[in-house]
Amino acid sequence: MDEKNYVNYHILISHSPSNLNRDDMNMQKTAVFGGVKRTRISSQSLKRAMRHSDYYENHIGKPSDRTRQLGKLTAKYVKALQDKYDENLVKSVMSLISGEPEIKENTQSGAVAAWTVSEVEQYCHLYQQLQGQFPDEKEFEKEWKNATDKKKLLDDKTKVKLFREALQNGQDIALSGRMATSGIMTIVDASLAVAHAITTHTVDTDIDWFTAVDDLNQETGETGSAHLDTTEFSSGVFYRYASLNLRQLQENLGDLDRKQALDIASHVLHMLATVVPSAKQNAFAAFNLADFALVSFSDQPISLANAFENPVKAKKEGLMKPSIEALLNYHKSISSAYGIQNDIQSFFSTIDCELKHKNEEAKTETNEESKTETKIPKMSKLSELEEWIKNDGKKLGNEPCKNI
Amino acid sequence: MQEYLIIKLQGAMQSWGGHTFEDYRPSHIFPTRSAVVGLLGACLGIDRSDIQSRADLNASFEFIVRADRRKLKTEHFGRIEEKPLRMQKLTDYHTVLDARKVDGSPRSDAIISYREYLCDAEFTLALGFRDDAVYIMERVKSAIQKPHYTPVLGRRSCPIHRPLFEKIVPAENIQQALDQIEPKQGTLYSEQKIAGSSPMQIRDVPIQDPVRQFATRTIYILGDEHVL
Repeated sequence: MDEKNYVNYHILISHSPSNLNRDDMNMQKTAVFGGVKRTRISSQSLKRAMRHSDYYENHIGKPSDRTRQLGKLTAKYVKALQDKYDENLVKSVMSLISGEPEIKENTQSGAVAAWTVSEVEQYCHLYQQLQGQFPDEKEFEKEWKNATDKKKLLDDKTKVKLFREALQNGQDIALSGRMATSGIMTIVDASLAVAHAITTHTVDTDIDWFTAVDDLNQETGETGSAHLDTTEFSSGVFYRYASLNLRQLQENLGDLDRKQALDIASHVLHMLATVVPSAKQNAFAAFNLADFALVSFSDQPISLANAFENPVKAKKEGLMKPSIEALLNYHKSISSAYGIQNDIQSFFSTIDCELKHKNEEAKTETNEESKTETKIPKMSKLSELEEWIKNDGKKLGNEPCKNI
Repeated sequence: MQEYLIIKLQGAMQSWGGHTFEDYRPSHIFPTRSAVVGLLGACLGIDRSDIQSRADLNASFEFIVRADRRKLKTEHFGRIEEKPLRMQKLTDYHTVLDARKVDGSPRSDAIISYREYLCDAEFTLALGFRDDAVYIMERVKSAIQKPHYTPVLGRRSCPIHRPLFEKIVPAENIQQALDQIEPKQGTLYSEQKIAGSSPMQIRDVPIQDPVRQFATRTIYILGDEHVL
């Protein structure tokens, strides 16, 4: 079977009143969609929340070290690599990679960059090798420059693969990419594309007026407050969309096999369905979980946000149920309209609903009676859907859940 | 009669960057040539460092853009109404570490950066491929139907909301090709002179060396007389 390269994640998550992502005026981020205002949680905010979540550390591994504290980082790596390389070698390598002539205890680089110890180890290995081959200092310098030249590295596929493999302990770089503007760290293109999350409906935000009381002033009989301010907040059902380019992820990790990439893909689902940004959470505690998640394997990474271009209106049962219905109806119409119903898909929902597709193949058959609808399997646990991703869209056993 | 490839760019948020330096990242109100080359290049799997292929792709086609004037069908007290959608600009607040200074060296502190996005926008593109094109229409068509790198609408956070491929149409010229596609209304941005249009200079033609710099071309804008 032709393997589908993109994993599409469509998540619906309802947030109780909160201000999860704001601008420089502390106002909620918004967008206009379908001619009306929506609240928005930016792509960068969601990705950061995911990268710093406990789940990330427990299941994908420690994120890369994102730091500008070169001195502290060097000390950490010297210790980590002490069985393999001596201190001076690691220090020289760190200095060459970062472009800092000398790294002291307090040295800081110009900017925060993403580091992984396994990548530095690769460079140490190369350094030692070249030192052995070219004892002359000038010659060594020339060869090192040659060997680590970004352009040449990218041309030399086997060498770049070595460095990519070294990224396997810093999978956030493989997922979210790394822009290396300085130094000789290689550029990595992100394999995960996370959209700005927007509400499925229009939102009128509220302003909360609040004061802070000074206890000692109160004790002296003062009645006034010590501080007063306002904060904007709202609630809403958010549509989160992300796509994962499996081939790119495999490439970024040094031609990792598809099975391992699918493991990472299943963790991405878990995070998209459970991780919430931390902004103003001490005041709002909108720690909500997703009620709905549709996942598909496809040839094209297509968002289903247009299901909500006509803003969903609250019904007696609230906004989540009509949002799910709008998504499922739209999914049905877009699939047949664009002939992309070959996607392998499955979904999870806490609310009773079903996803059906017209059986297009049956239509072409002579017997019109055989035109039936195929039901896409619904899962009642998020973990089942995670397993399903790990199994490349196959249910227990070997039968793929293809909706045709 | 020649055949033209019709592409639709549609998504809640899009961003078609103009020239800038880090802190303010404006969006043009229509997709630029460099953006279209980048988008198709991503679908074809042209590597960022493969400058020759990118130049070949850039030389393979001419194109025309229409900023579609769309209507949204909406239910109002049981009646179906058509609500016109107006494209709007959105400015997003963002902080950046490692921003470049004028001399190219990185700054040590974080800067505030504003990025512009287009909301409620849809564009229809007609592409005509040259006879001597390195990248021929069929190849581009299959690439956009099964893209190698992730295709996005100017930024990685702006996914496509429908397939890029619309159809292949035969027509006398590129404008006629576009005229066959719904919604058949909207402002045109053409590389060829069209009757009643006004010329504009835009610096969006990728040049081979140095990379990430751009040459100027002239485009011809024909406003929609029914603009709302």
